[in-house]
This record gives sequence, structure tokens and C-alpha cells, in this order.
Amino acid sequence: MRGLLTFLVFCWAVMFGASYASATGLLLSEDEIGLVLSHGPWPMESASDPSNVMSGNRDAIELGRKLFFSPVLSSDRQTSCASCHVPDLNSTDGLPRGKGTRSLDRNTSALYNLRHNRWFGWAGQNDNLWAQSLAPISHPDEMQLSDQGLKRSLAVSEFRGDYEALFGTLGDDDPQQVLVNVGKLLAAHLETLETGRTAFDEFRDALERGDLETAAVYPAAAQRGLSLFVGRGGCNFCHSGPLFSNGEFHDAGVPYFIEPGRVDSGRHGGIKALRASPYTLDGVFSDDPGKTGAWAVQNVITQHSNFGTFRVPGLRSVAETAPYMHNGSLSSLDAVVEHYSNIDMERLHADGEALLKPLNLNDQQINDLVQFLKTLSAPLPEL
Amino acid sequence: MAWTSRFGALNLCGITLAAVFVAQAALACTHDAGWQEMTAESHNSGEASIRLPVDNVPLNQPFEIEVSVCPADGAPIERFTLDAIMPAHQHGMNYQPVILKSGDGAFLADGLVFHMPGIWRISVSALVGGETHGYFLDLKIR
Repeated sequence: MRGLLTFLVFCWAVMFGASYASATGLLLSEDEIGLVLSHGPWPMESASDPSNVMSGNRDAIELGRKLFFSPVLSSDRQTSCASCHVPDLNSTDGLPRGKGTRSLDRNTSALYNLRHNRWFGWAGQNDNLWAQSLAPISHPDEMQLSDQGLKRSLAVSEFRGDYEALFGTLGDDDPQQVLVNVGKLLAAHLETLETGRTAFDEFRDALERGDLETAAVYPAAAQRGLSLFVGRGGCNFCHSGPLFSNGEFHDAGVPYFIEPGRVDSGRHGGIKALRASPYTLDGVFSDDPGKTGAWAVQNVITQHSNFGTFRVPGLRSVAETAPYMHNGSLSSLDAVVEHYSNIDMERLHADGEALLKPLNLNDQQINDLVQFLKTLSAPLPEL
Repeated sequence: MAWTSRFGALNLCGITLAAVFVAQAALACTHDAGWQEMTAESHNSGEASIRLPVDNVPLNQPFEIEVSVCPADGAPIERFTLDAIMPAHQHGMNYQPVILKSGDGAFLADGLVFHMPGIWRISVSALVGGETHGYFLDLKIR
């Protein structure tokens, strides 16, 4: 169906030509329109996560939401998920790098549209949302609660009854299974956090149905920025599809060093952690006997070029989640666009992506790209 | 690093993807609808053809292809390898496809993932009588 609509838009553009398009305020070429259509529709289709028996369960979602805000999951009984994923800061902490019991190595990511990811974390150290959700609980620099500690904490908490209604008697569960169960509750909640429709989506859908009058409402600066995004900028090679991310790992020319003498190996370390994890889609804690999606962890290749690459973040509502890059080193969207405009070729991985070149954008082009990125913002769901 | 040595590294990856097969006898290559002929790297390499997914190759999703290799002299294929790269980007795939022999000179490769739009080159090689024959096909992925 989408292919047919794309074809109709193409036919329309061929028949009526660019002059009519410019007269209606549409600044994109036929090729660019085809590329724009690939960034939708939104919202994406979604289904329950077969690896998580609690996915889509309303009681589990509600309990997961309560646990997200509860210090029951931390050893100091003062820290919750929301301590770092702050609701008033659009599920980030607003800091360059996360602040656990010490300064963490990477930027705290926002929590929207996670259910569509193939990999989780900047290095893709997990292949599912429940594994990623349980990780901070026992992390020595974050919530510092052991499996046994979590079971004890949950047993004396207000949540015990709701937990047992979903999983059975807590006392019968192995502590590691309790950790997994809590991860699945948190994931059930997090997978409901989807961003809404944006000005870009209205523009994109108008193009798809050939409604140029509606499409022309989309600001000219954003159209020029979008033209750069899918054209000379080549941003869409990595920031592809409805999420504006291919979900894979690339070198964006950001320094490797966390501090003098210490580097972040990125995806290289992520694959090592993934292979050592008992919590993958290929493991015994998955609820999916068919092991849907396990092909990725089974077949992912370790390559020298993985070193220093990081997961491509989605761009929906990106304007609300500063600062940027895996280490939070860029404070604004302008700074990000300028980073790519003047990218340091000496810094890029010798075996890495040969696509990146300095774009040498002028001030108006930088502003146009930023204006486009701002049209990817939408009302955000409540945590 | 020079372009050629980078591709040397990619080829090494390709070798790790290799599945070793011994075909009892090679059959004539299929030219049925849905099959595309690959380009042979040498004029004495015979033919190879490939069948892609009916609904186009998906972007960033796993897919399966079939490959039929027909050496010029009809000799058995001793080893078959398959890889795919983006020549302009100088990188390959992030996932190792699983290769199975599905018939005489016929192979099934499952789990290819083209994670970026652009030109991808699927390359196969067949070891026949101690000599390696290469074939490729370029695809534009959107």
C-alpha cells in the first residue's frame, strides 16, 4: 500500500513538475520526497514483546511505573530510576554524563520509543528492554543493590502484594529471577512511552497522500534543513526510518577519551558484555520459546571497526533531550550540526565509515538543519 | 589505511563467514524469473545467479537469498563463501549470515542485514579444482 502511495506521489510530481511545487511552497525534489516518505508513518506498528511475559499487561505496566519512581530498588533507599531519568527533564538528567555514585562514563539517554530498538545502551550491551532495565539496579556505580538485597527489599515493600499477584509467591523465587522479573515490570512500563505525532509527520503524510496544500504549511527553513538531511548532509544514512535511527553503531568523530588515560571502547566492549550476559533473547530468562529476535545476538560480528562506535540515537523529540552525543559533550543542536559541519577527519576511525566528510555549512544551513530537527518534537508522554 | 588493505580486512571477515561444501556435481545455472545474473570476475568462471526477496531487500532487517553457481567446466564446488559490503562506505555487514548448501551448486544465505541505504555489493566465491572464482552483484537499497 505504501509503495502504491509513493508511486502516486511520484506520478503527481512528474505530471505537475517543480514549478507547481514551488508555487505551493514545497521546496523538495521528487527524489527527496521519496526519501522523506521513508521516515514514516508514525506511530509505528508495535506488538507485545514475546521475551517479556509482562509486556502489555496493564497491572504489570502500573507496577512497573510505581517501581520506576521507588527507592526500593536501590541500596541507599534514596535512589530511583527517576533520580537520573527525571520527568521534568524529559527523562534525562540534563547533564553531559550521568551522575551515579560517581560520574558515569556516558550521557543518560531519554526513555522514549525504546520498544522499537534492536540494541540498548550506547554500546548495545543488551538486546532487549528488560535486560537494559535491570542493569542499573545492581551496577556498582548506580543503585548498588544485589539480587538478594533486591528480593529482601521487595519483600518488605508496599509492592509485594502486586508482585506476587503477577509472579506468584516471592519467597519461592530465586533472587536472580526476582531481578529479571523486576526488569520485566520496568520494561512493561517503559515500552508504553512513545512520542506523539510531529509537524514533520503531518508534512510527511501530506506528501504521501499528495496534499500539497497541507504540506506547504511546513516551514520553509525546516524544508531546506530536511533537504540537507536527506541530501548533501547524508544524515539519513544512519538516521534512517521512522525512528530516524538505523539502531546500529557508527563513529561520529567524538573523542574516545573518558579522561586522560582511559578510553571508551563503545560497541567493542558492548559486544563483549552482550556475549557474557545471561539476559539476552537467546538466554534462559527470555519468555519466548521461539527466541524471536535472537538472531542478532547469535550472529553479530566482532570487528576491529567496532572500537569507539556508539549506537545511533533516534531523533524524535531530540530538541528536548540536550546535551548530545554518547558523552554529552555537545550542549545544543547547533553544536551538533556544527560538529558534523567541521568534523575532524583525523579523529575518525581508520577502518570506520567513509561517509563522513566536513559539510562546511554556512550559518543559514546550520539554522535550517536545526529548524528541521525541532519539527521532530512532539508532546511527550508522562513517565 | 589504503583502500585495498581495508578491503583485505573485509575479505578476511568474509572468509570467516565461509561455509565449506563439496558439491557432487554442478548443474546448469537457473535463468528462471526472479533470478538475477551475477557478474563474473573472470571470463572463465562460468555463471552465477542470485534470487533476492520477492518484496525487495528490506533496509536494516534480516533477509534470505539463494545463490546458484555454475562453474564453466561443471566441476564440483569445493568451498563457497559469501559477503556483502558498501564499497562507497568501506564497510560490510554487522551480522554473519548463515550459509547452507541447498542443492548441487545451490546455496541459501540467511540473515543478511543491509543496515544503511545505498549501494551494496554481494560477492560470492567458489573454489573449484583448486581455483577460486568470484562473482558479484550490486544492489541499491532505499
